[in-house]
Amino acid sequence: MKFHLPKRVLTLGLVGLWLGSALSFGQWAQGRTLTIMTFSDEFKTNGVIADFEKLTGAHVDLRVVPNEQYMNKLIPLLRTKRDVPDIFVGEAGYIKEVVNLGQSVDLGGAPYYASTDNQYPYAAEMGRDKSGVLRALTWQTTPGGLFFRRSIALKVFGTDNPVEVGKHFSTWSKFIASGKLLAKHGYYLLPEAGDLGSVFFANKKEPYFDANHNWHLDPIIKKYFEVAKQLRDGNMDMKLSDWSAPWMDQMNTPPGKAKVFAYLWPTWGLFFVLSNQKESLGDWGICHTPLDWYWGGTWLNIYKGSPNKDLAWAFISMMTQNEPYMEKLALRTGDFSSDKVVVNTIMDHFNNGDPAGVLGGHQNHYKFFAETADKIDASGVSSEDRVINQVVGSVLDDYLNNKFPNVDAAMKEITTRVQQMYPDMNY
Amino acid sequence: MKRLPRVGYLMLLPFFLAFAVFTIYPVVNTFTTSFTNDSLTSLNPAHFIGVENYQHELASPLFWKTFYNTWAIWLPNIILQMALALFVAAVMTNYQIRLKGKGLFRAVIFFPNIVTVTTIAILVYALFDWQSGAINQLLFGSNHAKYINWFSHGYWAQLVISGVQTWMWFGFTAIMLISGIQSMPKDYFEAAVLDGASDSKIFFGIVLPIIRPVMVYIMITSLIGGMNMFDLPWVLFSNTGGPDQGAMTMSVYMYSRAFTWDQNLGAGSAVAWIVFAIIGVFTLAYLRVTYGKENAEETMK
Amino acid sequence: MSQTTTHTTAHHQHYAVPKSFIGKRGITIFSYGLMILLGILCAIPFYLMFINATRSNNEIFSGVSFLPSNHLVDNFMNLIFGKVSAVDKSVRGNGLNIPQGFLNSAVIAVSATLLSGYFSAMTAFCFSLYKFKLKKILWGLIMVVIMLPPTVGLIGYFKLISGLNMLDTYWPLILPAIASPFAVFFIRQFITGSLPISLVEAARIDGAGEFMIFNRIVLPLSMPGIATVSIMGFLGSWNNYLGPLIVLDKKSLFTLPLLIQQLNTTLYNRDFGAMYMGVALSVFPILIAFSILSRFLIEGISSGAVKE
Repeated sequence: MKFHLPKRVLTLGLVGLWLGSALSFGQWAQGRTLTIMTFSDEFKTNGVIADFEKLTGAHVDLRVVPNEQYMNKLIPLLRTKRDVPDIFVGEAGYIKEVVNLGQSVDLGGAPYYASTDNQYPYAAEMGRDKSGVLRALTWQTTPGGLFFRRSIALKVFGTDNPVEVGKHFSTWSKFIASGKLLAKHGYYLLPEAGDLGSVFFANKKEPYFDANHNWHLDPIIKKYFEVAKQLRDGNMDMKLSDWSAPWMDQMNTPPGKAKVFAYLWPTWGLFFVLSNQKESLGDWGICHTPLDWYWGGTWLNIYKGSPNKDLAWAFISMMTQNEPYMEKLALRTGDFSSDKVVVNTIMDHFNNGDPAGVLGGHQNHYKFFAETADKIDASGVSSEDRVINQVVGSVLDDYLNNKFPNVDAAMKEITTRVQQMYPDMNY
Repeated sequence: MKRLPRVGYLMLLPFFLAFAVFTIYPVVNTFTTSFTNDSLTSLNPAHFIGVENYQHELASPLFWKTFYNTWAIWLPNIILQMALALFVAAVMTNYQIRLKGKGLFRAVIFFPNIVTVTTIAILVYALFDWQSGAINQLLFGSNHAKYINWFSHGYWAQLVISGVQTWMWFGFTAIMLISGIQSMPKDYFEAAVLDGASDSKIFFGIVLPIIRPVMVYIMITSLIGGMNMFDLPWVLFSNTGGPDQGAMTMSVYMYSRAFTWDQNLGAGSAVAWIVFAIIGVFTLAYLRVTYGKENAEETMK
Repeated sequence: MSQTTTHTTAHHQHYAVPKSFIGKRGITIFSYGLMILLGILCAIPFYLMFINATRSNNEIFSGVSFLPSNHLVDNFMNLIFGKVSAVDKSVRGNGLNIPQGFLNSAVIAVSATLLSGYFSAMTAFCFSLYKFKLKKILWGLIMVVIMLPPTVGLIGYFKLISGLNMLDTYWPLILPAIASPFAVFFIRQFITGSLPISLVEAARIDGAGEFMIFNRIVLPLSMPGIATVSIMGFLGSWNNYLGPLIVLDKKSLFTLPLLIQQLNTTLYNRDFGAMYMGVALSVFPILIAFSILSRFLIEGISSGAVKE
């Protein structure tokens, strides 16, 4: 520490100087180009790029690569070290893979000293590599909840108050019991039992492979299979495959015609998906599931070899360190911020409900998500999650279709398949 | 056969130049990689590990499962595709059946080949959705109890992919057969008719031998394409292989091994060469069966 | 030279399949029935695709429909000018320049097809009519490459392209077409199967050089084969997704499949209406062109190309 302190002070001074010059001279990066490679066009649609260009005078070149292809595009670029963008990103499913490539700068160190003090712990945790170095930052968190139909809740549980409804889903046994009750009334608790995956995957306590390459199948996966199987066998799910047309369609049925009681969505499900379901607007409420969870999110990295690190950092610090700007952005988009201070400041703006009117009864989604975000623990996420979670989902489908005599046989099948995929690990 | 004159070498040059640069180089790269532990994630240089990758892959039960899957998708497809194509070619070239709208038909059977596989995947999901898809509605009407969940069992998934392949390719195969039949010189046929040859004799004695080169081409390219089948299973099920891992073909396995799972480029490259060897063996075997021993080698030369 | 070729031509050679194979009335009806069924099977997905281009996202989710809806203009606007921004309703963002994509795809596919057709025929010509040193080895090499899984050269290909400084250009998508082993294989089969050697020999006696013989006799005579294999080449290039994805970064260079895939970048706000519209727009001209050209093409296979 002794040795680091002067350096840090010096750099802080330099950054201060640099910021000062930025302020006094205005568009300090006139004529320069910042390249960002991401998997959606949201930086354009939410006005972030326009803001940044106005602030710095730089031009932003946004490259959009489909999410499924993102890693296949990024890795060859990094290997050949050509045309690597200044900023590349990682989605929750593969951010660990990205930071563990070791090609992103250490944002916690000089000259950036990014602060994660106000961030929700899991949001900061996800951006750290295997050895704990902070390599990626995010501006949003994506906690999830059970989005239920108020009209059905009123009929079956006698209340549509989210807190009261939540009491029927606070443990897994209550969850199943409520599913049975719904089935008795001719409703399905969920569109598909497998949808619970995002809840359970987010609650893995340990990575699939530990530091010594030993395979570890978290017991939470077994719980996932048991709950899903109970749902399926009790006819509590509608067996609609996720993202399929009927799965989407059930979300858009008017209150009297809905057959599916609830969908599991994170924050973005509210803004991007439910807000487009015109027939069901106002019929939704959110309550907690037995476990707290998240789904998705985008983390920003600066490429080690980038000649524009200062510009890249200007962008990332605007998005993740500059609280006034983060407030402005969150209010503009309704996105759920990763910064606790920002969340607490703007929370009351949503006392009348979300802007699109998805939620009925003036439920404040910001308050709801804030309760969850703090409790999420992402320590069990690792590089292999994207691939292995997919396999677990695939084995679950086979299990729900009665391919295995019992849940232990299904667990064994997961291990067998993973062993074939990662033969060099210890099992 | 005449010796190739000097100008002939110049004529071969553009092909082999482009071939060496854009094909041979990546392929050689693959070959040398297959003897190393090169990995996508480690940015360190790879080192030589001999035939370890080959040994490991040949002993892998999953690899042999994908071998089975690949055949289970290709075989029904080629049989049905060939039967449909022969039928269409026979009808279209028969002067006694004057079908109206032949031109339109020829264009229409080619349509499935025009769209990208990602588009086809969207349509497959929409049509084969087991609760709302058109296929079950067509097959079983409103008898919901009979509806087949097409993506619940490996064999159904294989059948769906196989069927889509047939749908995509029978038109092209038919058009090639038609071109083969119509390239037959008129005199052959006239002479045979004058000799009083029976119809079946003409078909098996003249038509089949004439279209044999085309059939051989179709069979071999289909075998190669079938053994390398990647796009459709991949866009439908990605690296999971779908239900029972039934849609995991050898190429999906190879790609996943190299780029998705432990990103082992060495192992993936070894699988590529094993697949290649399998294709080579079956191609030769096929040629021997159709042409006899000596001619088989001739065709490959 | 062309007058020597006329004796092999015939206008209508619709007799190759014997009578007993098909021919009786019942069989005719059966043939009609099966052909119509096959035709419908091939056309229906396209019909549904065009119908879906007129439907809204939610309508598409509600199931298959055979009747068009009224969102044609919306979908078109969303595709070309982008979706209405959720932040400011007067702003549309991220439209796709479909005409530009069309032009890009056409430049690549047409150049690749022409190069592939010409050079494959030339190479096949040398292989089928001459013997030369290394012939067996070179042909073996071509056969070996045909059988290799195409996805495996991916990393090597990328290293090569960036090494040649060809990233973000069309060269790596066009030049490899010069060496199309499949096309060479097919055209060689075609030449061996149906090219009358006597014509070539007659030309030699007339004193024509080999390059001349290829251009004047073999090329036109092989047109049916070249055309057949070129359609595949054209479609392969037109629909190629992985190649352009690896090579191209600038949006202004994007081909149609890459542009349309832009609508697919995020699962949760995917606009299926606009996507079907994009696919329909990219397929429609091909369908029309093919419907017109296929007539000449397949007629040509029996006679047209040989006559001059």
